[in-house]
Amino acid sequence: MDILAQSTLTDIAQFWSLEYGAVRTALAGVVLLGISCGMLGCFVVLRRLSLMGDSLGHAVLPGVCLGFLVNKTKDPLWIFLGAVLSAWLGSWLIGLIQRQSKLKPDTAMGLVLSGFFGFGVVLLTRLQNFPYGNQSGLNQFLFGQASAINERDLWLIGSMSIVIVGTVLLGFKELALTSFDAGFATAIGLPTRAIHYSLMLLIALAIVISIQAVGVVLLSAMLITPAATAYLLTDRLRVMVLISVLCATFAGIVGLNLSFLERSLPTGPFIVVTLTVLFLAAYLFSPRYGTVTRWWRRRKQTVRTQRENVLKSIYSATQQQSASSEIEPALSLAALAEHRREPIAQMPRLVAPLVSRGWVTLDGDRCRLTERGLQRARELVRNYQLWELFLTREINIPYDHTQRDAEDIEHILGPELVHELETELGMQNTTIAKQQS
Amino acid sequence: MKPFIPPFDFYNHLVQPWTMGGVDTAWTVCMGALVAIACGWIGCYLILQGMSLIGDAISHTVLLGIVVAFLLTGQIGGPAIFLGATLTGLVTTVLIESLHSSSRIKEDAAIGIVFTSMFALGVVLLSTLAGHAHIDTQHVLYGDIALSLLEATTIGPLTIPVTIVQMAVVVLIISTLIVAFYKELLIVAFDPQLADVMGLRPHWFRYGLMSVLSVTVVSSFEAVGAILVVAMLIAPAATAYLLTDRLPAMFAISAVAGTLSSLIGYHTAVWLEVSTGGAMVCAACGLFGIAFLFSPTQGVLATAWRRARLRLRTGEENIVRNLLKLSPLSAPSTVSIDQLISALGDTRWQVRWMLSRLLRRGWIAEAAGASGAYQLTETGIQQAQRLERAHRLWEMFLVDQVGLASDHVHPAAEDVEHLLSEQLVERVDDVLGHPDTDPHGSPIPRSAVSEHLPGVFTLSKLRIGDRGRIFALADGPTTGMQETPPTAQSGAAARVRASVAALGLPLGQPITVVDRNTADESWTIQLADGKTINVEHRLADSILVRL
Repeated sequence: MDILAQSTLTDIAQFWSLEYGAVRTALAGVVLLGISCGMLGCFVVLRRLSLMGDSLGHAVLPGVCLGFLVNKTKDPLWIFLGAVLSAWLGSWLIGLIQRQSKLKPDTAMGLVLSGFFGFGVVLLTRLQNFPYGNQSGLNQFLFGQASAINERDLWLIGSMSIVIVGTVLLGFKELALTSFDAGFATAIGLPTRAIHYSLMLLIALAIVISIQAVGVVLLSAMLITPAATAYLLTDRLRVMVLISVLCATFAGIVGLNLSFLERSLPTGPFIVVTLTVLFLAAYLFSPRYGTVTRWWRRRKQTVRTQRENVLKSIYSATQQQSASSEIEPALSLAALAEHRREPIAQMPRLVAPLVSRGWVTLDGDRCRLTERGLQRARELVRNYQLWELFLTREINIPYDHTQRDAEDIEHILGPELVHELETELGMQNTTIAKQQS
Repeated sequence: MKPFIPPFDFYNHLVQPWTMGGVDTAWTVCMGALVAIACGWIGCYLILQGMSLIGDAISHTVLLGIVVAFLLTGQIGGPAIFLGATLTGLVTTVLIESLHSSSRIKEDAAIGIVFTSMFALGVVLLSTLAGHAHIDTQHVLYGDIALSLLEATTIGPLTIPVTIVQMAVVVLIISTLIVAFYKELLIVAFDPQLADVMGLRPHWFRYGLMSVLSVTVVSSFEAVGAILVVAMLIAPAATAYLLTDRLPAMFAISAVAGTLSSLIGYHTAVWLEVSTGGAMVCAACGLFGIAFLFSPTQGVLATAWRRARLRLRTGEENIVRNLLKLSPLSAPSTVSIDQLISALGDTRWQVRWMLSRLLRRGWIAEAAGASGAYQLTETGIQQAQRLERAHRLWEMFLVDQVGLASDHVHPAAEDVEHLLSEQLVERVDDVLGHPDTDPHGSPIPRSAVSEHLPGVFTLSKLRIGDRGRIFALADGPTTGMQETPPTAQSGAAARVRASVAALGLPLGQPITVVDRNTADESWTIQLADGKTINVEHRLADSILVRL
């Protein structure tokens, strides 16, 4: 095990020494397409074109094989042309099937995806009957092999990335507008159709330059996953693009590194697994939209509501008690339990958080509100009453229907909103006064 | 050196596979057909429910289940693989659903993320840990039927490849399930809300479908691989969907299409020496292409043909209308082809062709003496008046009932006049109270009760000043689509007869229409003895008058 770890470490060190030309070109290529795919992916996800990306990814296979056939070598230019043509044909066919038949879009995409891929497989297996095809390494296009990126490929990837990044940066405003509000974009005279088709073309370009490194089968992940990750982390498009690019590039480098650890491991799946790990992290822990984060926030809110409800019970029970007799306003836990109609055994657990907050002091089994506790309890009662008043006065809800709403809301009204309500209601102190009388 | 596309040899590529080593050929084709049938039937439901791409996702992710099951048990095949695959299928469905319901990720992105990640994980495990498995990353994608048939078992006198037995069992299970739950599946597929109301729990059916799908995918996996399974799921079912509207027919057609694509695919693969699975998929998509182009109801050609027919009919009807306009009944003349061309704006060739069709149908005749000049025949005049009536009534309807401005209604009526059925025109006429002029003041031609009684009209269609004799009482409704059942109709007819008798109108009585009251829709007629009677709309529709 130690030896294994050792060799893994030396492998990683070797990778990062960047001694080998192959490592350098592969790294450069992966970074470039990480930038392109990450950027375009944002628009793919926002416009719900994810599955279109997937279909086009699969649909390039026959084009790649035909491009190979032209010179019987992996000439990047021909393969590039073939792939772009085949992606374009695929997207045209998807549109045609949708327009001309009652088939749903997903069926049309599935048909084109698998049909083109089937044709690609036929071509691929046909090529393997020939000596030039057998050693061509065309299989590497299925799952990607970044180490096979040579310098000519890199030139192509580089120039296409410049085209993609340049177009997106130049047309950023238009792309953003059409993605978020197509109707408005049309209304102010933007050529939405032309923009859509240009975007499709850019996606096709991005797909085509990714096939060498990621492979046709998992290509769509390169477009979808980083952008979806970013989408979970921010609400601003610029930030989203930035995060998406970072994710795609990072995953590309890590995946490349992992696939270099052993000979002939495909790159694509490793990149995709890395991307997924990033996505999962965002899905669970995104500050705003993470599942765990949201669960935690809800839980905190529940705990707080319960705490404050107990505080309120103590306050009102104390009030009642002091109203009926003139004794010291300290409340026994038994009285509190009776007031809350809950078993007395639960009371210490309920009161403990109040004590630790310094709202209540507990003396034996008698609890007493501190100054701060009293203040918070009055605030809560006041919030409740303000909201109740607001509901009956401004929203015209009958008085006997407001209790539940007001009970929920009293815990979350901030000072600003309270102030706002006071002004809105003309600083009504009547209910407060009534309460105190 | 071999050519890229070798010449097709009938004997070598079609006959020989069956004569020499016919058993292998038969098993291969049989396996392909079984895969295509099982996938096709499930595909029918996937297509109907708009879940094609979830099917796509599952056929990818099942790989992860297979690899994990292999890593745990160390063997390929057996119940572990099926269990693993079914679980993965369900996990995929649940993951996709929860991903897009619990976060702001949309469904399409959720599908994309789930299937790529699970598939990638499967490939990573396969290529690092399961290096000695007989699963090869390429076969994962497009399978190998020949390899999948290597292992055989003996049942009675027959030696059958294990995978075929497996596949046959799967087909049997699917068909049993379809027969057993046919009605429920039908409701869930076509009307999920109704299914919900009936307590059928659509999402349980969904999970069931996904489990069956996973099992099918696993059994097909070795033969056609992950991505080609998608084609088998979608293509035969989509082909069938284009050819029929009935679910049982859809099952039958998809089975036939699947079997055919297996057969065609096999021979193509023999001919080109390529992957059988790939060739099958191409054949299946080819069949879809044929259905897409040539389906009698849905096909591109059928649609284009219907559209062309409508255009032709519209053109012909426009010629007839223009003939009536250029040579009105009050001042009949002949109309030259050049006049028609300039009126219609069509090319000379089109006009000539349509004229020749109209001549053959007898709607127009060549004017005696002058060649290249035409006039309407009696039938032609009737047709032209029918169109004019539809046109002007529709204009009236748009102004009167829809509330459009009268200078906006002409183009709409121009299109609709060719589409309105005679019944609908009569109904519109009735609703409008049988108007005599259109919004522009032009008279609306009236329609006789029947083409066999040219001079007989209902009283409601007479104009002020018209003279005639009471001809008969109508038995049934004379104006369009009355929505009363026949028994109620005969009752109504009896009441009408009674009311007409009460008016004191004997048959043969000569009458003159002296007034039409548009407000309460009644007609005032004067009898021979000078007495005037007010007839309300409902009765006027039933009294037939010969002018």
